Amino acid sequence: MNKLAKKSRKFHVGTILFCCLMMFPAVSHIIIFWAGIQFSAIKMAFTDYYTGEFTLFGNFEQAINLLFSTKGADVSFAFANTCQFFLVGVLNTFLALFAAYMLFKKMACYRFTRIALYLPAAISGLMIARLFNQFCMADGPLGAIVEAFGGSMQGTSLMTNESTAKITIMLYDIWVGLGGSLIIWYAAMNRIPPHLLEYGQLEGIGVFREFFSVVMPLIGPTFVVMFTLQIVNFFGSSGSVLVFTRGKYGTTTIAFWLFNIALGETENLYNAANAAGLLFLVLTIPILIVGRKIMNKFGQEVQY
Amino acid sequence: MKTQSQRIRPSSKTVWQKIASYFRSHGIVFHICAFILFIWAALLVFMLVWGFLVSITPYRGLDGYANNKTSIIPKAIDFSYYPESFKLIKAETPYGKMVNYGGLLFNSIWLTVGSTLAKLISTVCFSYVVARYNIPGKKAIYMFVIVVMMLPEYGQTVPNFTYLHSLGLINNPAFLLSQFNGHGSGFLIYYSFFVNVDKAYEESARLDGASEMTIFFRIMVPLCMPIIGTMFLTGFIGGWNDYSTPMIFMSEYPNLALGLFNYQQSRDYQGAPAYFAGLFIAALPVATLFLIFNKQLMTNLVIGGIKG
Repeated sequence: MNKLAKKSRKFHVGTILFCCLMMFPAVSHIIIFWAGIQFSAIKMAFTDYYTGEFTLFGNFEQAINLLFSTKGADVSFAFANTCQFFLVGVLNTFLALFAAYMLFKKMACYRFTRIALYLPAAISGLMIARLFNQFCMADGPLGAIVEAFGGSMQGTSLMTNESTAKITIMLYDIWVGLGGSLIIWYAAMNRIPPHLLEYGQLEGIGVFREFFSVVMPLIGPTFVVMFTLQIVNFFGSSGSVLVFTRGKYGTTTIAFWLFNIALGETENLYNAANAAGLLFLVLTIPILIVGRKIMNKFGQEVQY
Repeated sequence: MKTQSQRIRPSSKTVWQKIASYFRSHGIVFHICAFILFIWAALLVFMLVWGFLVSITPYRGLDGYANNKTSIIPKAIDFSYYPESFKLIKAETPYGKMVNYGGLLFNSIWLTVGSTLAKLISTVCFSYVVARYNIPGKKAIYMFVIVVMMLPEYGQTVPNFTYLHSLGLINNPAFLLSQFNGHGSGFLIYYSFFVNVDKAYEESARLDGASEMTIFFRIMVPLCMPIIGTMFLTGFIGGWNDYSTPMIFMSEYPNLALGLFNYQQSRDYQGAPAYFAGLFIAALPVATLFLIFNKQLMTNLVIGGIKG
């Protein structure tokens, strides 16, 4: 009876029309934009910029030269920065997980802490970055603190100094960057059935034992998704470089290099940048496979 | 059934007793961690408060805009930067057109609302059909969404720009058509909701003669409203603060975020107070939305689910 009902619904014209109508915006977007952009990317990677003719390796060679030759030293330097910003991102995700658990356990002033930690993600990132920039200047509170300890920041700026710019951006990213991941971890923890936690509490386990033995295994699927997305974005790790230094003072990254090309400053590199993008995509696949295998140990029943 | 004394006991606890019981409930390590986290959060708020105080402090030149270093309380208060920032903050487009504050605000509104709604409509409709109907290729669609999510986006900026340029969508309001993106994490959030809605809802509606449209709009959408609201909110916040998309694709229609991004480097820059005032005004709509709906925002976004 159920099967019959399903079958009759399956072939009902009204239902088919309804499904087509509902799927139209998304499917047409996939066909026109998503597939179009992928096709355009592949076509550009195999087309010579100047002659417009097919080239099998030309753009890839140019991309590799840019990435690893002395001429493109800033780009190869960007690779090292990308790796460092990726590690900062991973650290941030772990810190957010820890912070979410503290909030979940209703630490003192948890409402205030929750809002304050998420606030940088809610209000403009630009605003927070600009405030931080001025905050760290000689005339800002940091300058006052340094002066109170007998030092002086006059004439120095942390963001315009090659030795301090990158580390300052990283510290900034750690400080203000908990919000985005925090919201996901916190929501996942709130979905844990309370009776599961109560069993543990009746057994007399402490909060940290509860975290590792009860909460972590239960939010395993969220853990897998979060870290998979993190790994996928390995070559895209860029921190807050755009808003602070625009890639200057030794802070450039791979993603920023590609972004800069898109802004049209070096139009003749469009095709090489596409080839580089494809290269990074191919390089991401083994990283993704290994990462997924490791992480599936934490959440084998991933339900996206 | 609670006795009279049981009902009275919790409220009869003094504040000190409550604090003592809180401290007894966890170990010292927990309290140290909580203290560090609190200071971490408090410093973020302190930075915002300091920024606000700078925005109401009379400007004393490039090297002395900040307040008295020994105190963050300004010696004099000047709110004039707030109305002034409306005049000061403007953006010049690549073709030399000057967009004033009103124009930036207008662009922010239509770009943010337009792209958020486009994405929302497309994702809700797409995920609903995939989750609730036995359409051909249902599993393939689901896998496609997962795989697309796994593909990195950083190499896509250039082809995205060149492709949209070839379609004539760069610096064109029709750019919003490219925002009807029905896949991504939003799809998974809606999908996991719709797939878990009890079939009894639609079956009883069908028995009452409801059409597919009626079931969707009168039953499913109201049920999904908390998630739709949260997703709209996050989309709105992201769009409002996004300056890189207008910078690349809609530079002739700069929004408020892009205007503020460019303002600090412009010749019109008149110091931190006016700039900070502009930043605070621009942040007001999203900050208000966040403060009102922060609880919903914090509990409705689930990806990956939990085991069991």
